[in-house]
Amino acid sequence: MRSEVPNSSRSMILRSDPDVSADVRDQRRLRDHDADVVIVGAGILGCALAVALGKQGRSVLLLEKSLKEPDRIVGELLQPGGVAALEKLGLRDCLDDIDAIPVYGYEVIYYGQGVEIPYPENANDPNRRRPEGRSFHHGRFIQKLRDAAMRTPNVNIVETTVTDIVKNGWTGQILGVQSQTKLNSDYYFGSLTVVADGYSSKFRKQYIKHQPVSRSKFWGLELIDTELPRPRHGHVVLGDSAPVLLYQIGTHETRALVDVPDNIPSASVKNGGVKSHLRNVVLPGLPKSVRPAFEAALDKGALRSMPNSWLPPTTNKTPGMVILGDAMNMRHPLTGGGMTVAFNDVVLLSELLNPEKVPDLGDTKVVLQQMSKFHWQRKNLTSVINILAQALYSLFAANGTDPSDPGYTTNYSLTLKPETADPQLRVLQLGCFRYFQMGGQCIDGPVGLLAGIIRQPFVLFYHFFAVALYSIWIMLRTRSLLRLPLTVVGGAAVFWKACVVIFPYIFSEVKV
Amino acid sequence: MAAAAGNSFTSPAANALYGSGLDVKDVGGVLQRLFNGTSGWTIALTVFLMLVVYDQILYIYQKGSIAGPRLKIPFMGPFLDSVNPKFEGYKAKWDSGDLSCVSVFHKFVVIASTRDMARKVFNSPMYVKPCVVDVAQKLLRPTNWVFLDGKAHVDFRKGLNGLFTRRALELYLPGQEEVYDKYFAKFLKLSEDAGRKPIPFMSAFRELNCAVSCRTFVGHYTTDEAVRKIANDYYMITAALELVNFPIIIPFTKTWYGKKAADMVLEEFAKCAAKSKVRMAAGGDITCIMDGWVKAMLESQEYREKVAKGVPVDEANKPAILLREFTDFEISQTIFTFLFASQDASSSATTWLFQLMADRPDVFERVREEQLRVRDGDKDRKIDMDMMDKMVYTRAVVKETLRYRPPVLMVPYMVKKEFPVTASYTVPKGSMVVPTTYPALHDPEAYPDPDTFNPDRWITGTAEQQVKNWLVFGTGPHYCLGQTYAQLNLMAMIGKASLHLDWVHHATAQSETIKVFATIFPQDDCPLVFTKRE
Repeated sequence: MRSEVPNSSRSMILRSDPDVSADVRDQRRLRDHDADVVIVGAGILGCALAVALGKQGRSVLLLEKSLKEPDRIVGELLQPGGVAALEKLGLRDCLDDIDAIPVYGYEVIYYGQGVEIPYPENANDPNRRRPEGRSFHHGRFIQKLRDAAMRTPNVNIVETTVTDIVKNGWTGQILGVQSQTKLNSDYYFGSLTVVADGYSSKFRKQYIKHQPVSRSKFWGLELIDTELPRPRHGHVVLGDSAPVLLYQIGTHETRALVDVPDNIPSASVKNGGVKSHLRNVVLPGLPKSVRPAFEAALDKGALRSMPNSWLPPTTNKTPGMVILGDAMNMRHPLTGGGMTVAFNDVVLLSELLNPEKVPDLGDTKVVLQQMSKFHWQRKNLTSVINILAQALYSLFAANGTDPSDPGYTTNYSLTLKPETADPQLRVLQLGCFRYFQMGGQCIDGPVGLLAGIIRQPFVLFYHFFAVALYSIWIMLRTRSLLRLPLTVVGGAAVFWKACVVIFPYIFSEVKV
Repeated sequence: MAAAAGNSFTSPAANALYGSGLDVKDVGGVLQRLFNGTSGWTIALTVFLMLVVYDQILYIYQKGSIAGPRLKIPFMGPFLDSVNPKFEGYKAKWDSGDLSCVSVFHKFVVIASTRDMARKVFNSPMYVKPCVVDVAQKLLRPTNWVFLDGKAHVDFRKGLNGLFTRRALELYLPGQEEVYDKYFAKFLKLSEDAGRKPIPFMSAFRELNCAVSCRTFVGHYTTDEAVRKIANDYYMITAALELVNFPIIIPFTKTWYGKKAADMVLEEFAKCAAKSKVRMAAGGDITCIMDGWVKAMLESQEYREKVAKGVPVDEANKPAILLREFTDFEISQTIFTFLFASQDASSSATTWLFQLMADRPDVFERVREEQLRVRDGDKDRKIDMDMMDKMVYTRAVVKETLRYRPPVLMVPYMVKKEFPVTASYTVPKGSMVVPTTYPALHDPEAYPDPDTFNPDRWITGTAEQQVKNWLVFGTGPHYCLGQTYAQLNLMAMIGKASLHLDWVHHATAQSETIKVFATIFPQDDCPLVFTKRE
């Protein structure tokens, strides 16, 4: 019935048309505020994604409310798995000239006793180089990433504050954003809108059913010219209070991040607030060499905090939009996994959205199919880092996870009941430290997972339960035989606790 | 019928069994006899024949005194002709009488061929309302404004009038020129790539017009790639525009492809509407028709808000027409009707215009001379409205093209109540009545020597006075809203082309044969060679 449509003369121009020239695309970005991709937020993920997509020939508008160098206490430690991803993206040089400090592994200090946990050799690296992480001032690194984005062809960075999402009123497809540039109303349109506006995302709420849950904060101090027990290593200090992280971020600066659970009595206003908690509870537990600088920083006063949030990942299902980075998925920053997740996400996403696979980013059906693949394929790395961060924090904080808490199952979150140190968690904490002390596989596995080098969720599962069983074994060995029946019951309780700690996080990862 | 068929399978034993106690044995026997020796098939055949007879009687009854075949092909009528319409077939129909008829499937169609009969239909909104073509309701959606009637239609139209004023039309000119430049370069490349051998340009002209339309209607809210996709897929829509289609859309037929293409365009334009709303709210300037309309909505909204708040508003600042806020989909639907109205008709006119000028070097030369003159000798000067006013000869060429080869031959209407179109004939309610334009435009009394292409009849002749015959853009309450825009577009385009391009028409035996593809085109799709004019 369609025979008289003259196929011979159809789409003559369509075929002979050359590729749309770069000039036209530049003009469309600058004059019409229209691109293939609009990215909200020139942070870690936004910048890297802009570079990756721009290099693929996509026209990209990268929007950021302030292009000034950010000054924050997060995003300062990049695991070797993140460095490798950065290298894949061709952004390795962003780590140069920012006074970044190489990181070769961790030092875990348990009640004053230290154990070294070096990053293991990466079996997949043909050069067999020893993996290195990097720690640095967040703001300097961000500015390098922004510079790189600015230099990438097809990419423009715009300083503008995004105020709203633009939606096709008929189909619901997202078409871009409304914004405020200086005092003027503005707008940016894209075939695909990427929301990467960070941990306190303005737009997450409308599109993601989970909301972040935070039960503690990291309080940050900058220590000047302090000496760490093991230089060029991240330090985790464990003791009576919640964990403390120490790592050098510049030649003279060292960051201290102190986990302070919400509503902890020693940090209450009555007891002098966080400052006195830091001075009276945290300071005595720190390595001697660090205390003077810590005290000096306390005296100086500039205390800042960040909520430690947990947000399980969700599949992007909104046509025309993807939410990424901290806006979509967060884990406790204890293991320093956030940026590693972000860069690996960018590597994976830029493969999945490659123009060969997705010629038109406006083809929402295809993009959503790819986003479903993205959700599952990223898990090899991110589920490991997410679960590990949450489980390790449970152990290290040892403050008790109460399954009877109504918020527990719905939020997959930790319920920290201050000063009610959970005896089973204490057993697991000790077991974990002793496990590390055995060295060899017992540290290579866990730190390989943490570093983003080992991408096998099963390895995490294996080590976690190895720690649990080892903890029970230590308990059996150290307690008197007379109390054996009690000890056996206690062992079962410890095992149960281990399950209660890890399974909610595992379940959260197998959800859509 | 199903029940009857069911009876015939009732077993005699069963009848006997159930009938005995109730003493209806005899009744059972009567039924028995009635269906004895018959089967479901014979009954079906009988019903079918009865329907055939009913279809014929209904046709003859509806046809009454007017011209038309004595009987119709059962049910489908001349459907196959409408699948592959021929200009000669239509012409024969017009010549057969002032009013003539056909019946296709369920639709009874009356064709009004003379000028006065056509005008009578155009001007009888009491009895008829536009239906565009049979499938248009499905492509444009029944809620579309073009199907509105009476006051609702008048009001809606008032809201759109502001988009086609002289001042508004001037705003669109730069966008049009931008597209001409781009496509003239493409024409040169097409000829270059073809080794300067003639190739049919009809589809290239269609793409040019689609791009100009999209640029004028939705500005830069859509990409060049999307415009090309629309231009390409628009073929499907045009192909689906038959006078009468099969009553339902069957997958993988023309109407199905047309519907898909229309949905794609609607979605694209809805996106543009959402973007235009945002950009206009941010204080952007008007670059296209959609912008103009959205801005008028925003101004109305602002006015209403002020009034609601009790803020005194100067009457001078009151918008000329208070518009309500239209949804993205409503805006898309309306803008789609503009494309729907312009795409086929403008493409048809463009194709004929390029062909007719190439075949008449004297006309070509005079257009070129005038174009250079109105630009004060600078061929790269940008077009403005004053310049357009001075293009007397170019305007005459465009008008003569539209008269000589009117793109739209027929304008179907739906009869909403018994329509006594003449003293002796009443068009039945529910049928389609189709005023035609061609006979009026080739009426020797209005346009002497009507089958000759003669632009001068618009300058030194009397053509301009024949307003009653000028049915190119229809007449009555539904006349073409964009007629000025359409003519300016053709003038600006051919004028600019004459200064920057040379083209040669390689006439074939079919160059003057009219092909009907919704509108009309040369049968050979206009083989041309373009070269750059130095």
